[in-house]
Amino acid sequence: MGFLTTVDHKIIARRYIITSFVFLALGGVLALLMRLQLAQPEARVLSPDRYNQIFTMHGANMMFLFAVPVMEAMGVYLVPLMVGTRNIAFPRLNAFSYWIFLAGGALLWIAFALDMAPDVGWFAYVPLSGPQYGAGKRADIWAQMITFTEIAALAVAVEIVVTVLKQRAPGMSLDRIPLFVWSMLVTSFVVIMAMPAIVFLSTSLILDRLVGTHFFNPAEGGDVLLWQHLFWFFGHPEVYIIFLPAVGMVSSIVETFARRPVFGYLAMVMALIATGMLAFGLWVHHMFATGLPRLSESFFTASSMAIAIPAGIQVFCWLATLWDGAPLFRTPLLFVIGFIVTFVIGGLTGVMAASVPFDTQVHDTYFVVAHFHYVLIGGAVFPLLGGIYYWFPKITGRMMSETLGKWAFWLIFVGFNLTFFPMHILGLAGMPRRIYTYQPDMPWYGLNMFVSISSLVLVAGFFVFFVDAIRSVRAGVSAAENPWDAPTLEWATASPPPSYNFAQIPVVNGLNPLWDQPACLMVASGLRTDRRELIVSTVAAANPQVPGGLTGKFDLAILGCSRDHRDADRVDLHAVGGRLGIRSSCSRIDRLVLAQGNARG
Amino acid sequence: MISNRNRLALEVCAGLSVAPAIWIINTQLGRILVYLDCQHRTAYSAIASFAGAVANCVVAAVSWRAAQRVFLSEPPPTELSFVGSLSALSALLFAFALLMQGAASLVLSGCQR
Repeated sequence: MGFLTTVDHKIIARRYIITSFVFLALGGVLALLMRLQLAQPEARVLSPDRYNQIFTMHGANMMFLFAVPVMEAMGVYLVPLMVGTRNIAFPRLNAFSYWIFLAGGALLWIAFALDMAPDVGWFAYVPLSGPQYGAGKRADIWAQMITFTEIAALAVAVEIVVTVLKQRAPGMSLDRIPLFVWSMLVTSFVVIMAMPAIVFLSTSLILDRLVGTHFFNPAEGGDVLLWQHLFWFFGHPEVYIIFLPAVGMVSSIVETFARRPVFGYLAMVMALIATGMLAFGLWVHHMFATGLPRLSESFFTASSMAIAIPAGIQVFCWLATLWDGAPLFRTPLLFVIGFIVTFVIGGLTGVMAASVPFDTQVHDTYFVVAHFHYVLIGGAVFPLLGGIYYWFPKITGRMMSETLGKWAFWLIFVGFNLTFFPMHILGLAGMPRRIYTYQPDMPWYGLNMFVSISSLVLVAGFFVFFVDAIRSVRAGVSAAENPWDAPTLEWATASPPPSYNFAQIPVVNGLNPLWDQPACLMVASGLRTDRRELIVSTVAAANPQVPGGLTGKFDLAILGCSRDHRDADRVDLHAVGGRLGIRSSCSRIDRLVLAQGNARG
Repeated sequence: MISNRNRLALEVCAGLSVAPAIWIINTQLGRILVYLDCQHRTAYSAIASFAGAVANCVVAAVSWRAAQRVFLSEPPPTELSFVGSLSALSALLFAFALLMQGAASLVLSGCQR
């Protein structure tokens, strides 16, 4: 039962990450099937109906079962460690979120196995998905899967917000929060603001289909366009829900491998927050072909262009950091450089597509397919893979192979660009999205064959990555305490971390605690070590919420505590008084944790 | 009455709260006023956008000044000064977005579909 009921954030996050990568692999197989079908004109590899199911499954799977969960999972694993606390807030809610996410994923894939997967596109526009045209259970499966996965995402978002705002280590004031933690905080707020729209949509679609309401039936006073407005009010921020955590990963990696703090910390935080807010004013740029007044559309063009400013600020800050640092070109940094190149290309085509006249021409063509793969794979998957290489030693205690890592990077980078860049040209040549075949006299055959062959290079890259990851878990070289000499607190504890993360809660007095205090790290004393007591701190200054300063002793509120460090599965909620102080002598916190762990067997 | 401390906190956070609120309201107005602009040959959309941009610049100045006041106080709570600077920069970014929206209103009439 312990396996099923664990509430340790690291175990749950590992499950999330592994499950998401399984869904990534399954979604990749679907993509290969589509490329096989499109490699030549009038191919008969897939039936039209199966093709509809496959492109719907591919999109829904990649967005709802891979991209969002894996980014949140990285946050679930790393945020408590980076802010120096012993567990995530609401650990049982965290466990619940994983199981409900798994239920959503299983629902979708079992339906696919039974030939009843959704076939209405990942955004399931009405009336196609409504009761009139969406016969059978397919659209119901989509709506139920959405409800499950989005509830899971909302639960995780709430946990991260509370953890970041209320559980930071003493001294980690707002201007000392690591950029990855900032990115997860902003992402979580975006999730909380955006997800209710899609939960409402999936619920109202189910009501229309199964109960007989008329939310989207114009004949009864409903509105078809309401679907698009609400979907994209969620759907556009969704892109940033995937992208912002990646930005945080990039900042962590750049800082560590450039051997200097990120240039422009204030500007980077501003860019994260502004991006999160601007994300809610762009949704109509997905609807330029719906006949809204041009002036209204142009307002969204303006905001879409404006969001290029914070994105540009971030890119220039990373480049400045690398320029002024002494970069070590290890595998994580290679993925970051790959990210910068591909994301800038995706951003440029995004600015092009934000222009109404251009968008009207390329709407629903392969140009858009190319654009969003550049943004999503370039903007999120590259940093994620870099992040996996970077944090793998933290999660497993072992290093991944540099040689295989470089192979994986170059195969993925080259394969990705060869696969997706020609799609821009296909789109400009008029090839529409979501067609299951095309006639031989269309001028698309050569490029489609080239894209399909190139996709094999991309697959080979991912194959090398998976082989490296699986091999390294079992036989990788043991990792040192802080193998990259990174500055943030997750490296101040053992790798992999013990169930309680830190035997002594660290005290932070700078933005890069492990660089600011290279020989020793101040820790808080007074917390019990036989229970998982947590420090509850103030939002802005991260002072324990008691009168007085950080020096001396003061009362301490306890949010949650475990009965036994070795038993991470039982966390009770208490509000108990305690005593806390700062140790006057410096102590290596990792040694403290190790000593504590050894003492407890 | 708002105490000085609360007033300072409000000013520090203005750029992160008021500025995006002005921008999102103007974005919504852009979907409402366009019909009036078309019907009556007016430029309400442009006026609202530019007024919003000016308001955001004012908000940026308020947050920036509050950040400076916090910074000069003894002992300086650096996190508040940080939030004030963050607010000011964010307000300027939203002012830019509003300027772009205003420019769009000058180029297009409300009647084009």
